[in-house]
Amino acid sequence: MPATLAALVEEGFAAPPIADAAALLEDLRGLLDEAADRATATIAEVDRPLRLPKDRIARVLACEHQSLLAREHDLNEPVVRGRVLDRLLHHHVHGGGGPAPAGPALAIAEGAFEAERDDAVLDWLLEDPPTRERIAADATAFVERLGQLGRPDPSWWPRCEDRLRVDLGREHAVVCTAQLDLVVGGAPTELPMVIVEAKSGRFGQDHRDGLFWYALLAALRHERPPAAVIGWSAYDGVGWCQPVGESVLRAAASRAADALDRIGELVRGRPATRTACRACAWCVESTTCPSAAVIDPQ
Amino acid sequence: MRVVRGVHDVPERGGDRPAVSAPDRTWAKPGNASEPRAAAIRKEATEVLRPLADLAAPVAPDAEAPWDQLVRIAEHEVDLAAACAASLAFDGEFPGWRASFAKRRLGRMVLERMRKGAIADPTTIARDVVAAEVRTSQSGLARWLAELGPGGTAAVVRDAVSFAVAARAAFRTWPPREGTRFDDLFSWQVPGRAVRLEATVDARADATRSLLVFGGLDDEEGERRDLAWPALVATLRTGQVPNDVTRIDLVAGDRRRVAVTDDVLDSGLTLAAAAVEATMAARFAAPAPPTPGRWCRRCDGASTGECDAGAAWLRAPSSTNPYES
Repeated sequence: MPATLAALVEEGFAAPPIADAAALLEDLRGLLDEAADRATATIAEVDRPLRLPKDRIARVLACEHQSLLAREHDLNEPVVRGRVLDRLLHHHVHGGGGPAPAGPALAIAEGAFEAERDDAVLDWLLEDPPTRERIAADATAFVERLGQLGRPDPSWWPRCEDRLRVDLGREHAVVCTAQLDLVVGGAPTELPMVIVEAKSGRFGQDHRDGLFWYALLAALRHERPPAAVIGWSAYDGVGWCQPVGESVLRAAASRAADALDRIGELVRGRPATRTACRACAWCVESTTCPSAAVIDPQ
Repeated sequence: MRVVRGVHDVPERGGDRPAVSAPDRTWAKPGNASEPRAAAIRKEATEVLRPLADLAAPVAPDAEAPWDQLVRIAEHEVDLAAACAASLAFDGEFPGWRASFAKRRLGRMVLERMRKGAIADPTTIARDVVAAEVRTSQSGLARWLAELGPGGTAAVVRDAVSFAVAARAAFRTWPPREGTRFDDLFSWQVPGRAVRLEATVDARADATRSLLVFGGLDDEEGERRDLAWPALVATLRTGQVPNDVTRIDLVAGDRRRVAVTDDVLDSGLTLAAAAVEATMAARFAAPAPPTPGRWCRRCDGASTGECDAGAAWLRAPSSTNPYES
């Protein structure tokens, strides 16, 4: 049965707060600040700050070699599908309710891209008609899934694309930014904060790790941990709510510190290791990399 | 490319700005005498800036500004001049509205409605703000908003809501102190010259003569500019020195407050002189020599190759970081 936003968020609001969260956050910030300073010790001033988006953490921990190859801003079908879902979510939350607008669902997302002047995505959507047709069909299905999810209660002050930034180390050595799909509650509302992440595919471990990182960043930014993170998939309508406890935040900090250490070593010239992982499937060296060969194509 | 900004609908950095100078309403009422400190800085600003602006169209003492020739010096020009004076020569025309440009202006309208007691949720208020803008305004922003479909409007509302909620959360007490108002533009024209200094503040509190600006990630110098510029222009405009300026980074939550001392005003005047000189050179004479640096990544001169030094900086394999920064 598809999850409803109301049920997931109410579950999140009811999550117990972390005891002595301030001390925990101070501890974790210290850990991350030290890792940031170690990682950037040899980076030239002109290349500072080092950016640490969640995808870079996932990539360097999965396969160092692939993380150096990855072109993070390239468009491809999964990326565009995800962006289309985001715009449909924004319309779902900020569109004012009422009956669905006439016309194809993809037109709603394209209207948003036009308002954002995201010409790269608009051009990409025009390049290949069969791909566009697939994305248009997905968009129609996403709108149906969003309808099943239900709208957020206005009293939660829902907002999409809430941005936050946490600077680590000396003089903003490492800058961690996040753009949250949907946030409800938080300081102005006197409700606990709950973060919602929507995915166009099935939720996997990478997505969970990414959401935990967002929980840590939100905790450091607002000096108070969010009550919960919610993952929701527009692919199957499944959602889950994870209360943000100490272990969630510690796990996220540990992964980020590990990623920073590796990045620092790579910056200092250590050869990158190759590790077979999920990313082999779309890695540009998948046919020549010896590690990729061990992945079962099935 | 020369500086060809028109006077209509030019956005402030990361936001927007009303098409013409909106008069500040209560801080210094017409006829109020200037404070001696403010009068002194006005005199000094006139002495410093007037010669630098000699190439701009001369203006008779009581004449209306020649709008088609007016040179506007705002936060954007101040920032460019501080990084690389030559970059002003490559600063193109306003590329048109987009959601991220409209965010601050619409977000401040949402905040202003909240301050006045609106009790609806931010999304409802933002949608009302957009509808009212389309209905009642003749501005370029209103015309652009009127053309948007449901997805575009939702994107605009989304950005205004996230801005307004972040700003609302940055206020430790709500409603803010009596006499606070969101969104104001201070402007001051260099006497006898078609050059106008402009500073947009996100909020002002008349009771305490405080100014508030929202800023983003920047270095120490950038933060100082954000604080000194509105302090100077507000002083020149109103004839009264603000008590303090606060800068809040809504994304990171960092906040910094400075008392408006003579040092702050001097810094503002130095910024004004650099920006006026660089803008005059870019528009009417040979641009200043370039000072290449990381800002070349955002400069059209470097990316198009019109600026040799900037293009060379972009090509130079100076990076020690294998990841994109």
